[in-house]
Amino acid sequence: MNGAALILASFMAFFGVSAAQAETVPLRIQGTISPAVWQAYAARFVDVSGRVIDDANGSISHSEGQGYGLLLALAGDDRASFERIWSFTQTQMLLRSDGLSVWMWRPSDPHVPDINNASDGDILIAYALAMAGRAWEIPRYTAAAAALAEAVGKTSVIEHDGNLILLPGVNGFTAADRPDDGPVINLSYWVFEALPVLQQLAPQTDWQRLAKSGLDLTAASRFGQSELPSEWISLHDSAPKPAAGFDPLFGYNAIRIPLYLIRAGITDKTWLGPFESAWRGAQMRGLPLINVETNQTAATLSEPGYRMLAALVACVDDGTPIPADLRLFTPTHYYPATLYLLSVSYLAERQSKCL
Amino acid sequence: MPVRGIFLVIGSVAIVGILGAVFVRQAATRTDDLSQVMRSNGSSSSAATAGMFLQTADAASAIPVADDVFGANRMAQSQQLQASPPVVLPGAQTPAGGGGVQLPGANTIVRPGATAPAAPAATAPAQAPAAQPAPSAPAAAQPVQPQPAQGTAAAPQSGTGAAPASGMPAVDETALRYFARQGDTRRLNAEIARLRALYPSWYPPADMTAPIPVVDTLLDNMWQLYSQGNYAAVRAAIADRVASQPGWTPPADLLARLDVGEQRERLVNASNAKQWETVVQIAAATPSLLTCADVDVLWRLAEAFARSDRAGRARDVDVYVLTNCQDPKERLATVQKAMAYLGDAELADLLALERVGPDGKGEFAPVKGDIARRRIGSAAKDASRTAPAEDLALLGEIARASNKPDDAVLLASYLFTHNDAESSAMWWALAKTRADTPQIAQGLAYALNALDRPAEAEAAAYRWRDASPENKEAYLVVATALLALDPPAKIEPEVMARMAKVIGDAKYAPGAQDLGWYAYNTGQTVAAARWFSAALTWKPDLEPAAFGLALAAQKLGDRAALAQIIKVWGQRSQRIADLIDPARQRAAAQKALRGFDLPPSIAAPGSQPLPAQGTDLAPATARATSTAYVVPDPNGNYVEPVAAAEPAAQPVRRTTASSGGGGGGGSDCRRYVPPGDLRGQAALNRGWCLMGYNRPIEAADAFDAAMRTTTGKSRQDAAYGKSLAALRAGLTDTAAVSAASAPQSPKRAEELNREILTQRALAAYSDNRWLEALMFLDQRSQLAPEQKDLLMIRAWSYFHLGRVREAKRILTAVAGTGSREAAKALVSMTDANKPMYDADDIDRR
Repeated sequence: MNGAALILASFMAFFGVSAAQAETVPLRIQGTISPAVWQAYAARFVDVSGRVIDDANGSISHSEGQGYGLLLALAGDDRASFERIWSFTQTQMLLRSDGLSVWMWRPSDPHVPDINNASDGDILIAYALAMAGRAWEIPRYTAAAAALAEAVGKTSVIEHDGNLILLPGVNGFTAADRPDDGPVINLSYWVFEALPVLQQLAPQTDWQRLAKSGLDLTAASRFGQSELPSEWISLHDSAPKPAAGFDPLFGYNAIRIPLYLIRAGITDKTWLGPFESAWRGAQMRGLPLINVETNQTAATLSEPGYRMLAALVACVDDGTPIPADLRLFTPTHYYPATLYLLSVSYLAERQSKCL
Repeated sequence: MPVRGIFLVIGSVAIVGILGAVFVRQAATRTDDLSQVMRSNGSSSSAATAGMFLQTADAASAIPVADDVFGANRMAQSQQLQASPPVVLPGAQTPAGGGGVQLPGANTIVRPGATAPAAPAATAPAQAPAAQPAPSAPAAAQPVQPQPAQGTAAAPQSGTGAAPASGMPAVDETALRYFARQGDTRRLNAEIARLRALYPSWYPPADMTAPIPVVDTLLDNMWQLYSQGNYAAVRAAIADRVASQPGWTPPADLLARLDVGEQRERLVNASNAKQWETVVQIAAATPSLLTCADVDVLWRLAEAFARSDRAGRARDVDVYVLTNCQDPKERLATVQKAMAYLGDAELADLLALERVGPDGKGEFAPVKGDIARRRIGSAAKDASRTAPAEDLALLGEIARASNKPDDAVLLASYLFTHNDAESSAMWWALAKTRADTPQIAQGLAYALNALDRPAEAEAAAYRWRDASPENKEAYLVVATALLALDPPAKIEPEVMARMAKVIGDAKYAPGAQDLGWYAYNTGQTVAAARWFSAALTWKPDLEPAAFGLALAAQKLGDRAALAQIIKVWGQRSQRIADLIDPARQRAAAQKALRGFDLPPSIAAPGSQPLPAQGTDLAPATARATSTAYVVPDPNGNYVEPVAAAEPAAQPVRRTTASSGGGGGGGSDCRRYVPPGDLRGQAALNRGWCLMGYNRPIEAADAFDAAMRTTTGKSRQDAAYGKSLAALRAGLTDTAAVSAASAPQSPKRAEELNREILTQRALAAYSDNRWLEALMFLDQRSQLAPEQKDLLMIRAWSYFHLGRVREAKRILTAVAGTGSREAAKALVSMTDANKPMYDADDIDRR
């Protein structure tokens, strides 16, 4: 796009990786993205105040984006940018009395029109802070991570039907809030790789159990011919089903599920199988968004960042190399660019053979 | 974080007092009763508050000192500037607001020794080297090695303290000097206050703007970013430098100030997002934010307390501001803001801290009106609360001087709920001169109505009757009150017509009922019957309307209708049952040509659909009349040209229009003639004629005209007629006056006198003035024997006065003549010693 296409090989140069499978070892993240690539991302999507900008959505910011920004700054080993993003996150979004972040910040007044949170954003921020605190030995990051993790555990991890589940937000998703189909969950809010880290930070919550229920729900939420989960899932009945009032779509949110599974070292077909099937060849043709009720393809996403997800799954599945055109980082929009870097960071650390 | 730790410990003890208690409690349990928190911490809070005052009184008193110092230095500065003309460095970053004063430090190496302890003036020449343009371009780009060689003993290094002289604490004055050089008064004062809070024995240096021999461009740039509030950039710059320059550590003071700056921003954002708990938490954790130098933070904290049900704490914060902070605008704003979230009691605590200027004017004078408005406003909604008299007086002044209606409306509302209808009406009327609104019309109407001026009330309410349901209701209420006046008020035809229309359109049963009584009492029995019927159609359980309908039916001689009414209502209403005339009951229930329809609830008990209005009676004279008092029926037709005033002994007559004859005399007096046009005998004749139609008030007008335009016998007759008319209209006193205004024959005089005494006795009785009632009855008994009804009144009067024996004696005698009423009264007096059935029950309402 802006001519800042960069050669992917630099990842490898920057981070020498052994192909050895060490799935139980947590990701290190730090230094898995070359400074040049990270700078290209930051120049496009992070402003001087530390705000990560979703340029496809009216230039708003969200807690998820701040979390990704922190994580990728760590991957780029850029302490200054990390400080910037954290400063913005803390002063502008970490406002809720329960210690969580507001889910959205917009450039116009009032900047925070809705005080609700998004638990994936909170988890991503806490996770990134914890990883950065460890990597750079900065105790205040770790302390902030622990406080946020505790708050998520206290407010958003609840018992339901013998399982621990993650509420997408404090308001609006419980059985009480939605008598007809609550509780409603979003499987892409389970950032599996973060949960063992949160377990150490905030042991009052059983994050391992939350991880297990997330995997069980992923296995149980197979709708339509594609056997893919919808974005929003009702747990009102004994079996999960697409939640009412949302499009029954395997959509923008849900495409992160395989990414999070893989990054957490969960590569078994038990969980990845349906995604592998649905995305076969999608790294070339584009990533389909699928209506799980009509079985129609609602859209096909062709930006490199989306296709990279399919390439990642194929690499993990059978070692398929990343297609040549995906080896260059071309920042298009915030979200696919983010998915791209998260994929690449993982590949550099764990699957460099595909690069 | 150690610095923050120090802040918490040493910093303002005050805030630990205000906030600490809350936090301890909150940590204990989530379901704390906050009021309990307030109570249980009552003593500790006041102790803490006192400590707080000590603490900040200190800090506050430091401010003027700082101002002095700073002022002095500014003068020194400007002298310097005059001494050596300002040099503009190409490419130099001129700090915003720096006033063009570019002091060395940013770009120049100052030779050690140049700043040796010397008088400020002596330092001026040392700045000459600034002329050497040595602009280092983007300052932050190049890592700069520290200059270990340059420190003199006196040079305060970043991260270290100022030279500790004789036990003085090591105070880092870097920020202080930076702000002084920038001319950033606000931050300078805040920094002085902060340092004074940290180190009570420390005083600001006298030469803050003297150049400091530090050449750390990167650090200087950090301070600059900091002073611009660009905290994220400072954080980034520090991180960059830490990464690129091993061994470098940021000054603790910069980190501490960054923390405070970021927390301030967070507090402001949380406050904007109404996250009150977060505001309180930040304030508790960052006490150095809470100084007079940054009142906005204190305001936000106070609001956060108030909005989370801790009004006492909110008050404490505002009291702190008013006790310690000096800026007059901020003090006034403190009160203004507090008005939005404090109750009257807490607000009063703030107002008590008002300072009075040498001119005798209080500093809160500009908001006194708002405060009065607020107190009156809350008392206006609660009749049990009284607004202070001075508030009312003040708002009254403001309201009169204003050209807007709002304050007059507020006063009027308050006075109305506080039973001062007269003043209320005055303010409503004033408001109306400023703006004609539905609200004002409604308020004025109710106030006038409360003053027994329903005619004016009706006029006030009419225009906006359709503006809202409340306006409609107000109109119906005052119109009904106008109709219910006793004796019947004189109502102009167009007013009557519009009232009838609104009442009919609204199907407003109480209004229909009173239209019925008005018509009935002014001799328009058919119209009365129709309105009673309408009232019962809209509200079938209205006993007074049923009674009125029964009376009208009786008067119209419609025995079938009467029997039907009694059949339906007799069980429920004794007075309706009492209308039975057994002697006539046998008379065939002939189907009379009825001038009204019975309501469904009577015509066919149990059915409710409203039948069409009577079809067998042609509207007599649609719009034929323009005479006051005349009541149209519910369809807007005028049906009463023939007097129903005559005894109701005859069958219902078909009412036909027989217009004719002019002005006064003759057999037809129903056409309206302006009273001013009436003269002499014609007026007299018209009076008698109207008396014949039982329209006594118009008759009184006619007799009045006759009295003014006749002499001798005619004038005597007119006076007599006027007395009779007044008596029939219930205007006893007018009657007495008229009776005395012209000599009458002994017979007439006695007749008038007797009637006047009768009416007075009745009036006294109905007012529960038993003794007076007996007195009038005694006087009357000297003129004529008492009839049964007056004997009953006499008996009940005795009874009410406790003279039960006399009461019973009379009742026994009356019962002996066959009076059921007297027998019943005897029983109830004996049974309960308390009237169950009073003569009053005969009263029409």
